[in-house]
Amino acid sequence: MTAAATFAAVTMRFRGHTALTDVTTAIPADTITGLLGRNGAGKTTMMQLLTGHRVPTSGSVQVLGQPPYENGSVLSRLCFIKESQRYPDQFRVCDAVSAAASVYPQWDAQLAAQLLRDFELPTKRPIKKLSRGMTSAVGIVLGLASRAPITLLDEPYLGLDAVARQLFYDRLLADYAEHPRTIVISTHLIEEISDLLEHVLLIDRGRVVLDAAADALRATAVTVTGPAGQVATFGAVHRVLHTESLAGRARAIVRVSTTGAHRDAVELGLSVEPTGIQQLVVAMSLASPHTPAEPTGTRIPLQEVSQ
Amino acid sequence: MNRVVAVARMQLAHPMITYGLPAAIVSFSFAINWTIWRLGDVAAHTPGDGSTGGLASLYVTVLVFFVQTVAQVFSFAMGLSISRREFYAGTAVTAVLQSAVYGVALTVLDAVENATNGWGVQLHFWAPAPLDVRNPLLQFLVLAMPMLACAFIGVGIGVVFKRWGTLGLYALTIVSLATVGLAAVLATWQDAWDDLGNWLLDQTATSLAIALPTGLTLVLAALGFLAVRRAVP
Repeated sequence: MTAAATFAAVTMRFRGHTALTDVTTAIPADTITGLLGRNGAGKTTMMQLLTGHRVPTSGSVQVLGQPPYENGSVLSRLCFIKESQRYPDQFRVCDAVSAAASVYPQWDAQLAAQLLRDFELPTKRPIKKLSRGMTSAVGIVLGLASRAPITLLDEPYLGLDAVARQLFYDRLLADYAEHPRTIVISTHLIEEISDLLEHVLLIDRGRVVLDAAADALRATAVTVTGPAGQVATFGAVHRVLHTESLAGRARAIVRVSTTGAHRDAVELGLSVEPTGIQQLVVAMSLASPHTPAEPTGTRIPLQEVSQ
Repeated sequence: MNRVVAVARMQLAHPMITYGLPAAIVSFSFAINWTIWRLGDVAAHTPGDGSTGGLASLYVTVLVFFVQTVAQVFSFAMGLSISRREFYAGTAVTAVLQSAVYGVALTVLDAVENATNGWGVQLHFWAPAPLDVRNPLLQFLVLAMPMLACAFIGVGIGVVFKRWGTLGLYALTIVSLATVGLAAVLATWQDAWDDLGNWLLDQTATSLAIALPTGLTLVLAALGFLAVRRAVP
């Protein structure tokens, strides 16, 4: 794996709180990476470090082999679309598009025009007058048409309806297939996007808790259901992330560490289901040592969860 | 380089706002002044001094334009992966360009004013008497350099806002006020007002209107650049 960007022992402290603690990771090149985590986990901070909008308190961030801060040769190959992007008051959609066209060397005007039609954006209307979803769509048009070798999308879908979101995923995938590039997308809608992801980076309270290829994750995460004793036996040799039990039966989300685990589980009389990335992320975030312990006596009944 | 030009283009995206609005405001100011001169027969009452400060409205509008444009375009430009250095250079290009365009326009208007006996009413609007130097090139500089200084005051305020937020603006106001106030107190205490007045009278209008703004521009441009380097969009 070649890395498009690397974080080496990066700590980012703001007045009074620490957003990232000793983060060391690499963003794989020509891959779609999902940057996942709860609100305030540090996703946006990581993207701001990648774009040189901020400089780390300690450690180093390298993008395309160089530090990005005030580095024109890196920045011209980088596009950062964020949910909170502000546009100048008088800017119309077409002004934003032509400004982006003049900045990105690989800008594709045809793709931009196509996307503007797809999202039904009125090009002559001031962006300020657009709805939340349409403003997000403007960002998506800029992000995709920039064809930037590194494209960072920070919750780019905010306010978009389900149809438009599907359109975004489709267009992203289609254009990515034709023009492979490094895409990092931070999102809360994991279920919707998990098929797109090739690499998953999960951060929780400023620390990396999961950094793996999506395929490997799908292969190692399973949910087993069966008699509590058998589940415990199976869990003893693997990493149990989350368990719910009721009346002698248990259901556990487990990260397996051996290749024959699936067969072992079946031999123990357990039923095995694949676990989606979203379930895994939720389980891992809850299992994180920094999360406050669940108060006793509020365990969710098995039936409710397994419906 | 073309990323610098791109920034300038973002700021000049709407000619109606960059040129139309200031032109409209100063034209309005001119119309008011001309009407007063005409109706009040000002030239007859104060012979030899038909000057008015109405032109200041243009300089103030340009200052405000730059406060606004920095506050708004900075976030957008950085969103398009423009570096702070490129943004600042592009903004400086915009300021120079605007000052030049207005400088030329004002020089022409001043020439017309002088040729028409102050628009028929002895009004000296486009270059008030002390700043009327009757040499096109010098006149251009006398009118353009203070505008460039105003532009950089605006840029400076905008940068303070982006870097330190509203609190920064309050601090800037307090510090500026305290500096001017202290200087005034000091001048009074030292009985230096007369000396200061004499010194000012000794200077030629040109040196005051060119050297002073040029120095101010350079200092502000340098300070603004230092501040913008750690501003976060």
